[in-house]
Amino acid sequence: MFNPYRVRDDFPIFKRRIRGKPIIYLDSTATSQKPIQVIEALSKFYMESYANIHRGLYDLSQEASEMYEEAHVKVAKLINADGMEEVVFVRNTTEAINLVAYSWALNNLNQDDEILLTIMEHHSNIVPWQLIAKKRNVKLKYVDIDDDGRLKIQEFEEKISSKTRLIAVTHVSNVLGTVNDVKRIGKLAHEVNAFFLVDGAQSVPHMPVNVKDIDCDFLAFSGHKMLAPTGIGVLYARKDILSEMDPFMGGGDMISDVDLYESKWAGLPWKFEAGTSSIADGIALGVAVDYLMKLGMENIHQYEKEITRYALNNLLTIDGVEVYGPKDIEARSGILSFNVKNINHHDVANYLSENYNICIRSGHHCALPLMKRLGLKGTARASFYIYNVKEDVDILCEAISNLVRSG
Amino acid sequence: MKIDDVIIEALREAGRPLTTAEVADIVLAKKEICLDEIPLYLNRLEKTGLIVKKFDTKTKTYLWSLP
Repeated sequence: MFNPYRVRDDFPIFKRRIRGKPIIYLDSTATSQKPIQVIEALSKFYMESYANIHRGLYDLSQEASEMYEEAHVKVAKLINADGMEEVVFVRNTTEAINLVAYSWALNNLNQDDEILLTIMEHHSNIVPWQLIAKKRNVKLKYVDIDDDGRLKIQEFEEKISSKTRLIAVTHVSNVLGTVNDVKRIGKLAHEVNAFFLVDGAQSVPHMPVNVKDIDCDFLAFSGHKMLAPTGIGVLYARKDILSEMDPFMGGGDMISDVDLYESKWAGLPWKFEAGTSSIADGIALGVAVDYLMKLGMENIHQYEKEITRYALNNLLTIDGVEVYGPKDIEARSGILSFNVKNINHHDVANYLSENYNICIRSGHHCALPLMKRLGLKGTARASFYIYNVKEDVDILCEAISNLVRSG
Repeated sequence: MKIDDVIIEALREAGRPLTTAEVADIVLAKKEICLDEIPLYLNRLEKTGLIVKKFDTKTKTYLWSLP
């Protein structure tokens, strides 16, 4: 049985008091807090096993290499990839998508080819494609949302053509919380032999994601949103695709041979991990994956639905609160973007922080095209993860009610 | 001109407390900056004591002014 109170005990940050009050952390969409297991693993690696990987013959280096490789294997298991060859460690989701843009798209897309995106993408799944579109004269197209904040699936069918070479879609909107039917979108992509990229930044930490089931060609996600340190993220791609791609960056640790004018690449995934990697962070990502898998991704998903349902039902009872995105809990994740009538979203965030130590995000959430589509300058956003409890929701709702009633 | 200076100048010129949205509009008219950065500048300036903020319970907005 999933017990968020027991989980919460693993997170030292919740022992901290600010202005004498506990922290109500509701910004896990931006980044997650870290359990003691991850923090200790990071510290233990630096204290007992630290060395550079893949080159040293001494014990420490071999130990570090094995630990770093094992972390790739753990991530592969988490997403059901075919081994660590399909798991490239990068800095974050943004770098993973840029890797695809510069290694794959730049070399494979030509004038008049089309990339299909959606209006709800994070900037990290828009700006790289704009850069590629300018370099290669490629056309960008966007699928819109309906009034409930869901993608208009029929627009995919209308906008996909033989010119479509890539469909890049977020699995879960970082603003609306909408969970997109990526399996269906992937099927549509492959019907026209387009490649399919899924931005898993807001899904992989929160629910089971199986790359074979959703049949994606690329999956990008960040470690720091799933209990791991900052500076480590993942690009999954099928082995045959990665084998055909040129490296994004050249340097040490990614070659098998170097001559004066030509080089040969190392095997997968090292071909894409040039230079000294974020070794400790990668190993700690493996520990974070252990932690999540022990809890069970399906258990996490079910718990987040439960706490989100509770939060949504309570928020909607407060006068003047408008919540964006689907109201059907089955169609959304634990991300609740909202506005309070006649109150600036940044003022809402400042009020909650100052008076209640509630940490929420306010603004456009790096999704300006979506904000413009919704006719908003921004929203306040509360998001939930494994360590949040119903009492957090109660304080959030009490604080917003007091804000509305103030004066 | 730095963003900090644009904000302080805006508050001086206004001669009255400004809301978060009003400050944002003025800064955006003068500088290329991400909209979401402006509240961060306001909070930092307040922490250093260069500006002050007060929550107005009537309008339910923060009002920013010079000390």
